[in-house]
Amino acid sequence: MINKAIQRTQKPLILFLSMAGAVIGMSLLMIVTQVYTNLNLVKQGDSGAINEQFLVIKKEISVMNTMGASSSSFSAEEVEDIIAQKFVLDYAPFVTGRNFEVFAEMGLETGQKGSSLGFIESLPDKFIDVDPKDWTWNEQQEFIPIIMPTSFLDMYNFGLAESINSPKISKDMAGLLSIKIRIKGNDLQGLYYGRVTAFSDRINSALVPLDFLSYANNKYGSGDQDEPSKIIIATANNKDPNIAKYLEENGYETNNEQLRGTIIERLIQPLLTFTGMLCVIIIIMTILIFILYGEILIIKSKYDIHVLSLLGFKWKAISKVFNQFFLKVYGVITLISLVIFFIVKMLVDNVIKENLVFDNLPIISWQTILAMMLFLAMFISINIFSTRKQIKKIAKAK
Amino acid sequence: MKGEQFSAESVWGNSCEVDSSFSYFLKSGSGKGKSTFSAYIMGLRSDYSGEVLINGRNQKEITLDEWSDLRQSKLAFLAQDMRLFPNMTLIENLLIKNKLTDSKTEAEINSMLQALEMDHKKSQMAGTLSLGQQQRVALIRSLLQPFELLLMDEPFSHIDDLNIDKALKIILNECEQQKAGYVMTSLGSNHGIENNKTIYL
Repeated sequence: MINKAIQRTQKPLILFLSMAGAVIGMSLLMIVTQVYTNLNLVKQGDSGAINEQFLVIKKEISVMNTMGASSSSFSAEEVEDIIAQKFVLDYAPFVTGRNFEVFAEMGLETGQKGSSLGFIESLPDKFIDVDPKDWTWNEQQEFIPIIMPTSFLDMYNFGLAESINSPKISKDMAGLLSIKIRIKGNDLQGLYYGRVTAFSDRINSALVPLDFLSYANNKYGSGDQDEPSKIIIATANNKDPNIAKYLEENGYETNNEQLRGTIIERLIQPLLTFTGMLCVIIIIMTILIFILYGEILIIKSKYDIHVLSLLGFKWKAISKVFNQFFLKVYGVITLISLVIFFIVKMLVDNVIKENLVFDNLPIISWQTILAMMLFLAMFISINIFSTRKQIKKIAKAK
Repeated sequence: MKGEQFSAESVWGNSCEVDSSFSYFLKSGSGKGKSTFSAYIMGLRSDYSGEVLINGRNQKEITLDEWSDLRQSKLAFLAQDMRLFPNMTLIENLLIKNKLTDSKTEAEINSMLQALEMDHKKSQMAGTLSLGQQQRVALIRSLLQPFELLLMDEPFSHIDDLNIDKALKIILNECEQQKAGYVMTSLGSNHGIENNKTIYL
């Protein structure tokens, strides 16, 4: 019954506007947090078939090696030095095809055929994170399993597909395609078929099983194995600062630059950070407005609060009524914010899925939930605290 | 209630004791502090020098929650300005107080209203009642609780003599049932009641 005593002192319009502000603040916070965490996921990348803690190392391309003055491959001494480093747990050189040509041909939806001269590489099985039965090859096998760099897919989707108006290919779809592989060398030619078994964004050339590459080298290739221009190492922790230091000192680099993560970092992240800051400002303002609204509501009910106190009602019981009203309001705000959040998220996720070919986006990440809870907790506790303080003061006074 | 004491340093230069087994008539002219007296007893004000003891306890030390308890079940109060909730109906004003302690049945409330000729106004907004009507409602409201002492600050200022008699009947009846005392303040006449004691301000 205290509700009635507290009157219809509210102006619905002002309440509505305060709530609208809070909804904007809250949903914006959630959206920004979610987009940020989603992009972080995409940035970390999908190492796929190559394990997280492997690093591909090559030499920086400099004027010297372009001019032929220094070598762009790793000499035996350099390799020994790398292996000797404490952070290197394991090592292998990339194995390349020796002096034969590889043509790859793919049938496109439009009936055209895309073909290109390519090259294939391989790594020992222990560096490949694919089901072993999917990564074998023998002469009787119909298909050569291939691990494709994600950048190839991106290039196709953003380059070729767009220009010839072909639909984009997702990773799943790519696995269904059959690739014709023609190998020429030693005056011999051979035709093989390949299938994409897995993707990785840690590599920038197609990988085939070592068995196939050895076979191809024997049949079509010639010459000795060159010094490797790319090697792979296993580390305990890729982010070990010693690694970056060693690489820099020796003029080596990993293929981070090709990772799409860098693009995200350079272009989109600053935008997000700016929006995030804007968000914080909006939130502070909406909290302020809300608290003021609450205070005004209570001040308008001053007479009633005082009479209730005089009649013998405890101040806590009185403030409970106000707080219950505010909690209902917060409930509505949260609900509406969630609805807005999920709608916007759907739209943004589609953009990410289409343009960055990334599938594993969560429904809602824990960071977003945390942000939402923190926002609510702050909001509610400030409100409740100031309400109780105000009411106690009024109940005491004459 | 055992007693209250006002020490010699008070503005009134008096010390006095209010014992709930008695009834009191507080007599003074205008502006001499009748409402202030009530305000001190009900815990609404503490701006005095000297000592006010309520049930032996220093008035200034009583907490807000303890005041709520006192106002709920020991001290009943009829303010000079009545203090109803204008946006609630007459009957809602009574029920909200009654519900605190479940003191009277609806039937009992109705009969009090009937006695004061107010029961036909039950659903009217309290803010639209006349001053005399409001005072009658406030009076009934002050009786809807257990109490040991009933404080009435100029309770009949807007009521005609006929209704005063009826009102007094209800008050005295209630006080007798609860074995409680009362303090009634007034500008002048004591309305023909026999009080046990008189306090002068």
